[in-house]
Amino acid sequence: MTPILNVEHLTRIHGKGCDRCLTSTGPEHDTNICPHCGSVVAVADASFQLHRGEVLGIMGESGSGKSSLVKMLYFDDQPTSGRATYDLDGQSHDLFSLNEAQQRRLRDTAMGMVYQNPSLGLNFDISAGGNIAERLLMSDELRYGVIREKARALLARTEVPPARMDELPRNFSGGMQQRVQIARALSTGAPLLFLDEVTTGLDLSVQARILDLIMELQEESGVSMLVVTHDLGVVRHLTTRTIVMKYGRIIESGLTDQILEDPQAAYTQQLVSSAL
Amino acid sequence: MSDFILSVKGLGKGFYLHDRAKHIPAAVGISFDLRAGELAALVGPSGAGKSSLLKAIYRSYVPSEGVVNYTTAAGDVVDLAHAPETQITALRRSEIGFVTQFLHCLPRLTTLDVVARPLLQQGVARAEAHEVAAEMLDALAIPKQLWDATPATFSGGERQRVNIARSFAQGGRLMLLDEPTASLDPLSREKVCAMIERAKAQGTAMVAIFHDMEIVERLADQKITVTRKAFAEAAE
Repeated sequence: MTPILNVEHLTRIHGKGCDRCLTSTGPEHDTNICPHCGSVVAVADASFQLHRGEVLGIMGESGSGKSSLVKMLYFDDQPTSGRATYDLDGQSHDLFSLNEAQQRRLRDTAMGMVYQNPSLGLNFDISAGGNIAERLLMSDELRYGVIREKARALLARTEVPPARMDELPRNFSGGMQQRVQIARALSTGAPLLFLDEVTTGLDLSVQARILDLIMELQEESGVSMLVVTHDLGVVRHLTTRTIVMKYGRIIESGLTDQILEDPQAAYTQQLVSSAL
Repeated sequence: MSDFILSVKGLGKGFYLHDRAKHIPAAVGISFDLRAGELAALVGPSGAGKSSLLKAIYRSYVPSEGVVNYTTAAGDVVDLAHAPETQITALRRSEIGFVTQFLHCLPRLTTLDVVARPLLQQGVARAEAHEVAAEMLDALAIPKQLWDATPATFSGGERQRVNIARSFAQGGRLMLLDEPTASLDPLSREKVCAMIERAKAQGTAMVAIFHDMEIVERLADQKITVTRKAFAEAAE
């Protein structure tokens, strides 16, 4: 079975870079800053596969490169080198060889993203319903009635009261803003969803409800998800497989219960044992 | 084709703690073969590594040594100790179950949904999944008034029984049981034993740890003694 996403040797270096950047940084050097040229190695030689219908966690502390990785896959950033292919309806898209218009098109119709900060994923100057309509318009749905009805149904599904559909999301609570973001990300029925620290900063009770909602939606739709988090609870709750990153490197990957109960790498052992 | 559902050869499990630069010695390799409807009980003193070996079979732990050959429903032999993660995930969803004492609750799900969930995930229709779930909850004497409440509010013993109900509702060809009867009252324990006997009669193969030797004598077709390597021996 072909994976939906195949990432090979993805690398992102901030700065001018030199030929010793990759060999002089990483966990064994205890830094991601190249001592020779001062460049920051955000992601180094990351390879992994996301399978159809799978929920894959990317775990690591702040600055480990997990968000950088996802940003490149969602075209928010360009890699320094490496390759990623997205298999969509049997057709393989070589993500970083597409031109800008093709990338935008793929992102608007076939990918969804939920950011930690709702102001990145939502337009705060238009209504909650308008935020969903905007994305549907970008994917060529132009019938007003259909758009309105879809937006209403999606907001209802993500538990945003339909009565508040015409309000600006800036007036919503953090949890409700996240639910609008999730509704927006799901609106085009994209088979691939990126979640970047979606519950960070929310109340525990709100977190649990958002996670349950995501899990229900995943089971209903079978959407493949890449879940970036530093929260072991999120990983345990949502994912079946997990990748652990440090200093831009993937240092360990495995079944989520194995990563949490029998971590192999020194860093993962430390991370798991320091959890509350 | 092998007539064993599970064939374990020399399975051992140890740990290396990086921060202390220390090896925790492995449970000595165990070997046994298990046919449909048979139950193998892992026995040995506390700390010998019984749970570690059970988790190594399920791959929650990475096995240190040995082979765990499992014959799938389709008749393929898969070494669970080395199979790719995606294959393990697929087998866990449809054929291999693990029962612990502890239930990780989802705050929004009712008891009936918690028990029906694995079946729904397998694609079983909602009405049918709920019917099986109801039967299991009934068999474990969870009062009907609690079925539409969330187990997050239940007592320890009730949660444990909900967890067992869920595992047995899902069923499977191979079930791994880690002290399923610990801390249950005698009546509940009897009901769980009856449920295990029924699953055995239906052909489920099981590897189990029981605190209570009477239960081992009653349910086990074979006893596998687990001992830990001496620290000195492990350091070699």
